[in-house]
Amino acid sequence: MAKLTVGDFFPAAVLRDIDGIVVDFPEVFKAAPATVGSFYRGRW
Amino acid sequence: MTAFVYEWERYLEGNVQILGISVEPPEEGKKLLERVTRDCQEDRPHIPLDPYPVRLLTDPDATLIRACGTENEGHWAGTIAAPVTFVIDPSGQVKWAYVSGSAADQPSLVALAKAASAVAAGQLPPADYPGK
Repeated sequence: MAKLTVGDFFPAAVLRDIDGIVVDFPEVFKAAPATVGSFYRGRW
Repeated sequence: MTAFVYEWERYLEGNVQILGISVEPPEEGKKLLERVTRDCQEDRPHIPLDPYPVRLLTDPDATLIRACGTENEGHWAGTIAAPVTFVIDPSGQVKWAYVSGSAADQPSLVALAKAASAVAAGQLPPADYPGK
């Protein structure tokens, strides 16, 4: 069960994409009017 | 989510960004991207995957995954992300969520697209396409 649910705000974190570019959360959401964020185990 | 990668242009306009988050290292993400692109070119050559519609992010320590409560600690491979899909607005607020029961349990592409398109338009996701 996900703790984050509708109405919650994404927590702050700094990740990298597979090209090594830094991605700042939640700043990244400002890049588009909507974002689909999909957590996956890998190999889908 | 492979189906989503194949079909995203049918359902979503270009103003929706798609982020995929996992614990996998960058090299595994690149292999995934190459594999899906190759298979798509073979199976559905009319679909361009350039640029690849999903920006793959790596969270090797599961920092964001745990902060969002989407961790699966009991997997044989170690801590991985449980399959969960969110639609988020520019302020970082979750507007729609689908918590999958398994990797095979994925949201309807139509429901996901309707939720994302509504949020992109500054509206609430339609009530007749709820998450889970």
